[in-house]
Amino acid sequence: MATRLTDYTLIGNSRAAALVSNTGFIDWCCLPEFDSPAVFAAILDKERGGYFSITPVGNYSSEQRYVPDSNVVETIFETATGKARLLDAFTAHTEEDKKRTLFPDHEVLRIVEGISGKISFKLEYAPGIYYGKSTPHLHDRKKFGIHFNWKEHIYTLLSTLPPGQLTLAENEPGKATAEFDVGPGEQVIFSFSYSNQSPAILPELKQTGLERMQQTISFWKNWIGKCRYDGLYKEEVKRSALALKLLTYAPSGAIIAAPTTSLPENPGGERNWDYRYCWLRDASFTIRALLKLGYEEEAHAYMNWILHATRLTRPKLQVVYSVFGHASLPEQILNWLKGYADSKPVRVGNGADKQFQLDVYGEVLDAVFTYSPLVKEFDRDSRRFVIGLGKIICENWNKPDNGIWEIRSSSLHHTHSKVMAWAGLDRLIKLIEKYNWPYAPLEKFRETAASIKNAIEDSGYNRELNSYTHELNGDKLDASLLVFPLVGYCEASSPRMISTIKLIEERLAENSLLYRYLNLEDGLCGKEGAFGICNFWLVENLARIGEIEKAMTLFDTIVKCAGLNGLLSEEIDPATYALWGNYPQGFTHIGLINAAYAINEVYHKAPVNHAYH
Amino acid sequence: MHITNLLLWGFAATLILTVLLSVSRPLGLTRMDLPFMLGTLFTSNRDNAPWLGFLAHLAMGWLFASIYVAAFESTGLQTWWFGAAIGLVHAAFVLTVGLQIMNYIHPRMARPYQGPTPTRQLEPPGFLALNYGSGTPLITLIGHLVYGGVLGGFYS
Repeated sequence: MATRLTDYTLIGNSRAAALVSNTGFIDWCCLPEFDSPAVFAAILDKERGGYFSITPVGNYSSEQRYVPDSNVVETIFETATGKARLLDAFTAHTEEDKKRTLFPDHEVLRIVEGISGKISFKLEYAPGIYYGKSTPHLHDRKKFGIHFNWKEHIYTLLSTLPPGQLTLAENEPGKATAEFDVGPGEQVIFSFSYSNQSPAILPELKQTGLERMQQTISFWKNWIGKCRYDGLYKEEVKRSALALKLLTYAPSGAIIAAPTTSLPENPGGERNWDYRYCWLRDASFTIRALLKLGYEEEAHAYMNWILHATRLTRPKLQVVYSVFGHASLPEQILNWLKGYADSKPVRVGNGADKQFQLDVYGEVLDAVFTYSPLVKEFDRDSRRFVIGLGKIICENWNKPDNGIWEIRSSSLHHTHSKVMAWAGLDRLIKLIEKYNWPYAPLEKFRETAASIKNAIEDSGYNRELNSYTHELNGDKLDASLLVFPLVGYCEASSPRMISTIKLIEERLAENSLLYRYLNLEDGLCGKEGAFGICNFWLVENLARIGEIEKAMTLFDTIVKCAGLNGLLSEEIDPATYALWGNYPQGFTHIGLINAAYAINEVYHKAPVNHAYH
Repeated sequence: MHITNLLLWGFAATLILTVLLSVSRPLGLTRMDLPFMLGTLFTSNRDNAPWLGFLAHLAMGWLFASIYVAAFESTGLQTWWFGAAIGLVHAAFVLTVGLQIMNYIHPRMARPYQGPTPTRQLEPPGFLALNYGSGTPLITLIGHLVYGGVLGGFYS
């Protein structure tokens, strides 16, 4: 049986990430970057994927959570003989710290520390090459660690165990094992490092290993200490901010959707996608969340990434890009992997790169507008870029598209896409007026925005249903309609929106949780779970129309689905409240942050800040 | 060494190289903008960076032209194909070493191992500058072949 997603916690360094289970297994880790081939992929195939485990021998119980205000994970093990803890982290340092010493490109530090009694531990290190396709040839270089290399990549496992205790398994190629005991106050340190230059940099452990862990904890505490939020659900918001930071790719400023691939949307299903890329769809909500939290540097970096990453496809935008703006992400199936909970196929790459999504133009323009208070004036290139987006909207707003949910089977006139097209022009008009940009076809933008709004109100609202609909002249609903008030298209309290919210709850909710759509043909087999961010959109709407208690109940319901670590995936099964889909999901956590802000504003009767009016 | 010819054809070759690189961006072949990268060495003002960078690029164009000319004088080969051959070496150097060095001296460029602190605005070029688009090595190569060919063909 597959380990539940809530039993995994994410560690990372804003360039790469790993999932650590509450049984001490690292079952997912791609190096050197988020979308590099996995070294440990047991989450997708326990036998072939590769893992790195440190677990007590015999029966034990365990509990896992983050060290408060950090991205360092603490797993407490208890056996009949004693208690111990395992600390796991990617080391994280400031750039100033990095100038003082040599350090490997990446280092995963694992520290076992006795608390009481005595516990015997067993270590198994079984990495895989290219998502477990082949087994590496491990070399025991004694005090210089267990070493293997693949192409230009060098991986080293070091420990503070006495020589000879960490050894290659005799009858199992590609595996190293160790057994050791820890008593109260005793520590054993392990370091799994990555370099791509020879000589590889081998981190020192005995003198400085603990110090690096402490520096890492301090780094995260300092970072989250800058969070400006101080309202209801503060801990959940801070955890979401820390998770979002782990999904940020520091060298380019990009933010990936999730650090995993092919975690299924339902057990045994085929809805398995690679989310280790950056979706422009997330842009406006992401920028808003970063600015609300006070992370202006991250907002600058993210906006800079948007302006640069899109250059290869300008003036058109793709749905999804790599962290360096690579526009082609060919999909490939890894047929040697069984998949999480036997859910095949396991995919890498993402075919959504070829889709047409009209809404992304609106989302990027909304992001630029939200970001604009941070800049005095946009440079010529950025001006040309955003005005170009407006022109694309004018040329394409009345064409069908794949929509926000990237439905592969059909192109439709999605009402949400039209609303985002309107929102894009609305923000662009405000930008042009604010900065007084010459030569921008302001009248054309105004006329088109008015035409789009007329089309939405005429054809995107079904008078028999008393609701906005999934597509123009349609009679079905989807949860993207909840976005309309959030992007300033209308007030949540407008009659049309109130009746839409009511109908969405009636038609799309099960056990208090909301699906993004039901009974829509998306060309795929099986059913998916309730969609994380849609529930948070509903929370925001409920808060804005004054149903604060209902909003808080729903918020609590979703938050309870997370484990002790507070992480949420893309989807939740309304029947079991189990998490499904790629994990943790940035979009869901962005939704949590924005929903908590909305609840807090209404709860404290603070003036509601609709930035668009 | 004919200084006037060096200055004239060094200028022309640099201009052609710059135009080739500039044209390849809107065509979606690369995102690499050498004048912008050079300009941001001196300023973070994105409106000023391109022209400051162009001046720096021009100066570097003359500097490299003097090296090409030294090779022409030394070998006695002042032909387009010999210039292009030096251009090939030049492009290989730029892609494998030059841009990598710039990555480490540029005050506003992220290092490949930077993080979790946010980037300093500019993305690192990566292996063969592929982070700026898969067409970058080809465009850089063509640009430098033309640069060398123009110098070799017209300098005498």
